[in-house]
Amino acid sequence: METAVLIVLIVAALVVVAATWGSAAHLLQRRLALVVLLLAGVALPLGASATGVFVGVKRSSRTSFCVECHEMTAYGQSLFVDNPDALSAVHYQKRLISRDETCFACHTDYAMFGDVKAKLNGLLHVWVHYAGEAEAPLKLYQPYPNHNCLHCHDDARSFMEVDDHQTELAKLRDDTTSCLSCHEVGHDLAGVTTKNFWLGATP
Amino acid sequence: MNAVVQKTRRALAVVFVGLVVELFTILFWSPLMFVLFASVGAGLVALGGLFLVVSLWPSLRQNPHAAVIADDEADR
Repeated sequence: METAVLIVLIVAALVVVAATWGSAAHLLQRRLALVVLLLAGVALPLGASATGVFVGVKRSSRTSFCVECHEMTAYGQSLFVDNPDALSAVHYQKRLISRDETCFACHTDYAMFGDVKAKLNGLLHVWVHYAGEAEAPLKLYQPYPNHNCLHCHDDARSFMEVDDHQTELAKLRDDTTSCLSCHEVGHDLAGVTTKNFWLGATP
Repeated sequence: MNAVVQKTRRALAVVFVGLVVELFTILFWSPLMFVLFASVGAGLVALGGLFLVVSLWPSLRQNPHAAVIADDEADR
């Protein structure tokens, strides 16, 4: 739907720009028409472009966008692994996060510029995908920050009622003890290799 | 054809090419195409827009009285 709207918007801008090109000499004779020229030649095309960038950035948060590159295929499949200890699989299968934005939900920092940082990293990933070769195995840029987990779990009952969380709470909050030191499996890639999928699903 | 018209048309042509690039990238959407949309397509549109404003700036800055005269002359 949003693609159709965007196409209509850009085609409309193309038609208006072409018409403006044809009548430029006439428009330039009138001061008021200069405003029309600016609207047709600048405001409308820029508006269409800004809408396109906005839609594209929004789309780049989608799970389907992330797993489009072959480097991510196994990570996408790991969402379907039948392993109650695998964080990505549990979050996806139990719908703890939006299935449309599964990757982005956990791999963005929830700070003021977290999304911007994630998008810039994404640009780098696109560059590596097309112009280089990703190092195997893939690694995070930094140790996984607890804040990304605590953003949702911090005051959740299921989290608060676990004794170990209570005793380690201060250390978890200041990131001196990583959540992953106990919850070790982020993506169960071994489960993908052995095709140990939930309900025999074949993603 | 005077210089302002030529400059205006050149700027509009750059905007047009940018929009064509954007349309193409939308029709064949992929991560790479999005990067092309945002960098090449939107970049050309912004550049063309800037050229257009620069080429029209002298006309926009002329004094209002002169503009009215110009409008009257155009009416005739």
